[in-house]
Amino acid sequence: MLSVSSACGVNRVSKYKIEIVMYNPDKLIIRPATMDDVEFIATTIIEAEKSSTDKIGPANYFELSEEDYRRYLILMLEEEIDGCELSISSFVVAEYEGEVVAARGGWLEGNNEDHASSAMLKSNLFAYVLPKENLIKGQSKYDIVKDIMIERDMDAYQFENSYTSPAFRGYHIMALLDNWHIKRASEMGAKKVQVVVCKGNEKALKARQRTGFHTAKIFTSHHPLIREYYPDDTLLLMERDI
Amino acid sequence: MERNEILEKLTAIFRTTFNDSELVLNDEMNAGDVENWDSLTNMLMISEVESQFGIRFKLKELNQLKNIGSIISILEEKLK
Repeated sequence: MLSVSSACGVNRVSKYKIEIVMYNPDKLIIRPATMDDVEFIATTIIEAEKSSTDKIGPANYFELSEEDYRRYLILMLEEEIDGCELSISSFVVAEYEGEVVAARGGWLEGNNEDHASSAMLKSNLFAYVLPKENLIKGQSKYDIVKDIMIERDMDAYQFENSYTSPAFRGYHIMALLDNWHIKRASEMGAKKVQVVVCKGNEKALKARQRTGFHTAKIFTSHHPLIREYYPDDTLLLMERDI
Repeated sequence: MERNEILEKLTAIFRTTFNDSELVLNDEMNAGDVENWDSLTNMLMISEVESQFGIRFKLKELNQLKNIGSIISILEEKLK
């Protein structure tokens, strides 16, 4: 099945016919993700990491194919650790007629059983799931990426990993998912939201600026090989008050 | 394995992993106290500890590794 978005509806193209279906926002359900959504969540993480390029930073870092990286991501998600970007509980999804069409991750930094940083929780998941040979391959590239390792503020709500299926873009679905997270952040007592944006992703940068985010910290790698592995050499930690 | 033996072996691993031949460990020491101990090098440290001690951490145990003292305590338990 091939889906192509249009200005006025969703065109579902099958092998034998074209069926034009009007998008009806009343049919959209916004809900927390469950383990049943793990495949779509893995897609969300991979597409978000690509940031409109063809480079998946962590996959390149550990010398994994996209297929293997997806498989390991799912294993990590299945551990159901809360409080980091690899937590099913961090995600909210949009479901349309029984199909998940968009997802957005978010969590309160440090809000987990061990009050650990999300970076360390993620690190432990990688150490737990990935073969040692891939961890060693990553270590050889440490100097390339160490300067773009993001430090997030404890007790700040984090936005991370968003994706909308191509057929459902243009309907402001992600804004609904963002609002869901903002509401949750407020209920959890967070005072600010942080999000990481690649400096070269102008569309995402402008979208964040339009919604009140400003750049709080800049992380740049000057290593000549950084763009061999990652989609950008500069990451911006943007934030706004809730 | 006795605690001081674990500490000695752990010290060797930390000195190699974090490239500091003078590093001296104490129970309260954590990632903030050791240069280059971050989320990336943490993975390799875990892998080396598992390999050198012949053990495998449970994920729950990894998330309880707050400092050197907790690493040693968990290792003591696993090596009984």
